[in-house]
Amino acid sequence: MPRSEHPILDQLKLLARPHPGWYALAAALLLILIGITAIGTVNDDLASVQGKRWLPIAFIALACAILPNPRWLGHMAYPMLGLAIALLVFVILPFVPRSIVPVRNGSTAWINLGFMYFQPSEMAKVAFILSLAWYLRYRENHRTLKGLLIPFVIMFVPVILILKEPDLGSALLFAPTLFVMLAAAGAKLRHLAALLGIGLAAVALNIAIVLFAPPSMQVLQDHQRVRIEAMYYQVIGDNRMVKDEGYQQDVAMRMVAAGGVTGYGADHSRTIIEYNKLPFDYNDMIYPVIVNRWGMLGGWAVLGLYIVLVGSILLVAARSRDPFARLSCVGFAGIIFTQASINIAMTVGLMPITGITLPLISYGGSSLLFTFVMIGLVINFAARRPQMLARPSFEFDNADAIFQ
Amino acid sequence: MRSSLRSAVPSMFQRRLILLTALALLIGTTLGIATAGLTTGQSFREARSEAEAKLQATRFTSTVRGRVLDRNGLELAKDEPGWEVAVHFSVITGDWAHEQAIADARADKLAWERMDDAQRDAEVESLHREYDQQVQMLFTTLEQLGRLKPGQMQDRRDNITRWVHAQQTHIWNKRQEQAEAERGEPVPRSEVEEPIAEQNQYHTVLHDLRDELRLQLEDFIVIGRTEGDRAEAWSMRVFEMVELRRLTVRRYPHDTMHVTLDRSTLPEPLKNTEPIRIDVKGVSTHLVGLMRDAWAEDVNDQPFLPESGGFDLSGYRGGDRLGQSGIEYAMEHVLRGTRGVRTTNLNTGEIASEVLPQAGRDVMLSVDIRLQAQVQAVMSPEFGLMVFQPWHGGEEQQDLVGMPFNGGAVVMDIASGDVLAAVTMPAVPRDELAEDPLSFWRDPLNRPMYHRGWQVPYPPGSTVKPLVVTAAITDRVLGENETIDTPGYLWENKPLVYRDWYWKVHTALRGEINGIEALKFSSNPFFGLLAERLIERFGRDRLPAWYRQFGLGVDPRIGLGEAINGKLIPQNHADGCFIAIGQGPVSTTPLQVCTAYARLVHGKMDQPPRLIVHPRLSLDAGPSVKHQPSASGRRVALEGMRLAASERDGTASVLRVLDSNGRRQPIFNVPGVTVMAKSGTADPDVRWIDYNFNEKVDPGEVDTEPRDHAWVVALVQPDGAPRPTHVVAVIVEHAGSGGQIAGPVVNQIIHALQQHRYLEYPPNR
Repeated sequence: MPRSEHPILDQLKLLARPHPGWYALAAALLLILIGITAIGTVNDDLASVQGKRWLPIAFIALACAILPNPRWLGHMAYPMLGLAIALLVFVILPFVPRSIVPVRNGSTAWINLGFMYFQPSEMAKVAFILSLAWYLRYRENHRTLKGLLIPFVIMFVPVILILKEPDLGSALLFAPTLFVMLAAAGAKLRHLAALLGIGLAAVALNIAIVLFAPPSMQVLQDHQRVRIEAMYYQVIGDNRMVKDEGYQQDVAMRMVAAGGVTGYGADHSRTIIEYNKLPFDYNDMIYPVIVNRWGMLGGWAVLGLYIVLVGSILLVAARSRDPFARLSCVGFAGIIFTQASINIAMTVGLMPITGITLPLISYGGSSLLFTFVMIGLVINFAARRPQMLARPSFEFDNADAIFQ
Repeated sequence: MRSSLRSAVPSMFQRRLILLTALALLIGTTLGIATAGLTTGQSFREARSEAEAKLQATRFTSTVRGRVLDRNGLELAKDEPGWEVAVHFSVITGDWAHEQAIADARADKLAWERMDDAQRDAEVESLHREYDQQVQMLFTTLEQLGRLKPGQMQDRRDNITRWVHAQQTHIWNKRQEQAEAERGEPVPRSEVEEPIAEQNQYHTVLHDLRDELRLQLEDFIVIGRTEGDRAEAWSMRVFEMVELRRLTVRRYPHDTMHVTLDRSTLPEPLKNTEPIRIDVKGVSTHLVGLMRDAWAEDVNDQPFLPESGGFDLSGYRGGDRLGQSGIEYAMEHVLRGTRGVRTTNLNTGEIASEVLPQAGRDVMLSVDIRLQAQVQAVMSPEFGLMVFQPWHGGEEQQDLVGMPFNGGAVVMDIASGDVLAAVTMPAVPRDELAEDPLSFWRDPLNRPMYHRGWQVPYPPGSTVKPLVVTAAITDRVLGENETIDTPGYLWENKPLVYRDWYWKVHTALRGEINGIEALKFSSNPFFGLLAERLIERFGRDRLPAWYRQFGLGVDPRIGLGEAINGKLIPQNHADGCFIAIGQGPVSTTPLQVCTAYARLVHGKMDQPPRLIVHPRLSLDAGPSVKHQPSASGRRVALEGMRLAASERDGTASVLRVLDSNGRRQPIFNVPGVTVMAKSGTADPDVRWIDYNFNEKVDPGEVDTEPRDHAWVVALVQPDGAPRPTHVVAVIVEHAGSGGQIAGPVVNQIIHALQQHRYLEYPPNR
């Protein structure tokens, strides 16, 4: 192929082509718009910061993510994961001054950069996905149980470090993302189902221990136990923990429910949320704010936009021929959707409360920045012409099953 | 289906993406349904109602408790705003310093883990010293703010600690007993030794702090609660364990009074031309009563937030104050009032609804608090009548000289039944009670928390004899002028049991005496014979029925739940005879004795005594009047009492001490009045002192030969009045002779009545 005389111009032309990546960006922008408006419902100042500081920074990050060649990105995946792990280690080191790594909400998850608090776990999410995609791109051994070991190791290293911060909410996102990527990469579904079954059984066992075993047999931390208990009591209609451990979820569900079909509207919603004392209403609990203000229709709109966003990213994956790009897109879609689902599920009472934000909507610089990095990479991948001679990837024919 | 999908989508990767997309849609749909489930139907209605209810703040406005007034309108109890300072129990005991030291030392986990045990101890010790200094500084500051005497704050801390530990022991005992009862086997003490609520509470160390000092203390508390590492905040961290409570202070303006007493009318050894000034404390403590915090039982009985929903504005909730004893308890429903409630829209500031508080109503008592104070001064040890004096006993008892007596006195207006004074000794000063409650509540010897006017039963001794003679004449078992040849003892076969004191002392007989003389001499066998006649004619319940008609052994119906009935349960013939001289199975209180004598004078056998003038009590009807004393019987009783108090051989007439003329000094020396009196020297049989408060008789707790109780009841008739107008009853516990010991006390009370112009006729008040 003859070399172009204006490679950057060509690159921009490629980018400007219509492709599903732009749909993802459009959905993301609408979610951000909803987010800033919702944050403004409860805190004008934070809405302003989100719109005027973090959003421009996120756009810069998006622009930076659009430009690099995917192949170069693939080569950089492991070093990026190494850097993320190093930063995760750094934040849990005991001798690091608290002025650099402050304790916020009981967790050492942030590094004070002066102009912003940077969250290494956000970076780790992107690095983990890129690394896993780079690792799996031409492999077949993940179709064996033994071959799943390395992907799980790649997942566990950051997860353990994040749990040490501790930041259970962020750590929870890695396993579903791994499963989604492995599924897309052609791992045998029965292997994944078995592992998933073991995981779910472990979760069920823990819940059973929390609810029915004597104190001497408890394995979870106290704060984790009480959250599970709080949700259990809420589900069975027992209000004994509503005033303490179940308070956050109780108020969140009340704010969701009180929104009705069409919501209160801006002014009244602000008052209702203020006097009902919804905690973390600008970040973790932003979905109740949305439903309270715009009602069930607002909530559905948000869910719809996430489906559009995730669907668009998966469409980019489907159209791409580059296995690294394919799997990265699946990972991005998986992690964004998992995070959104967990956040919404806990505010509507389907999961116990844990600290996790609603991507693109909740207030926060690091989260927005790295979500935009993901969307930038998706646009980047979508804009590339398929390599005509690329090896087919993740195509393992098996006449016995629909999806294999 | 398989083949069609595989042919439509040949790429396995894309088929997997379809699977993942379907999964995402499923999850999204689930979340959408969950959102819809919450935002519609019953869930929506309940949540919206609950959410909007938060926009309204309901505040309860406190009420003002009603006042307690004396018969002249003087305030005995009233509510006023004030402040008190409470400190957490762990600071009071000093444990807080240690807890803080350990918490601080462990705060730096890494440093703590690197230390060996010795280093840890040193670190904790060093921090402990600093926190201990804070504790000392706190209490020194509070001592100065409260203007306490040096050491007084330490005493308060010690008292609170002792009190809580006593509570702890009591509760642990109860828990252990309960556990053992449930399991039917011994339960180790360690199983019930869990901290009690009081150990995690704030306890008042300064009562009634003045407002300007409150502001100063508030500054310290704010600094102490400042978050962060500021050195000043750290050095005053102990102040975060201090609570400044705005409260309504119940004040008792006449609880301490100053009384000046004339000593010129005292028995010769105590006589002095100089009056004495006596500060009497706790004048109204028993009468008006105490307040306490609401217990769980109070809240359960009448909850402020009933289970049925809403609120009961007159209900109780934790922290409420309510009456514990006396009028404060008995008239709680009148004094309490009801809270107000105001609902405000928080977003607009508008008042949505309001119910104004209703102040409690005042309660007016029949008591004259000035007279009460004077009676208390008369009965104070400083005045000398309520301590053992040389003439109170023989030579073998002179080592008792100076020993203070306990006792009670009730003064009653006969026509109305109004209780003008009701004094109990020892008194309970409120400030001392607040300072050291245990020394009052746990004093088994003196039991100062009981009002001896109506809460402690005593055998009435000979004070019942006028009632017996009245009953006997009314029932015609004795003629008005009939004489009986009175033996030295009642029962031939038991010459030591039921004796005439005259026979006992002189081994001589009174011979033929009538009812009047029997009262004057207080002849036991005479009244024993009357009892036997009544039993023979009407059965064993006849005399008890008369007693009940006079008000003995029945509810005094005075409106105080704590006023006891006394005992009246003769089981056999001997009992029936013993109660005729106020011994055996009969016990009573000075209030009941006053009531009986008021009825004896006016003959209205259903008129109850009156302590609460306003509001009028709706008392249950008393026992129906079955026995109306005859005029002749009442006449004989009063004449017998008059002679007993006025003739030199009367049992309530003269003291064993000589006056300046060498004559035995009369007991009663109030000019312008006629006194009719009956003394009583009551044998208490045994005296049980429950030293360990276990409500069981343990070895060493029973005195089988206690000293007698000294009684005198006197009717006072001002010159010109057609009949007695006032009755005074005095009991002096374990003192000895009624006339010798209680007599001078009654005499001084009659002087007090005269000074307060109650004995003017026609009445001038």
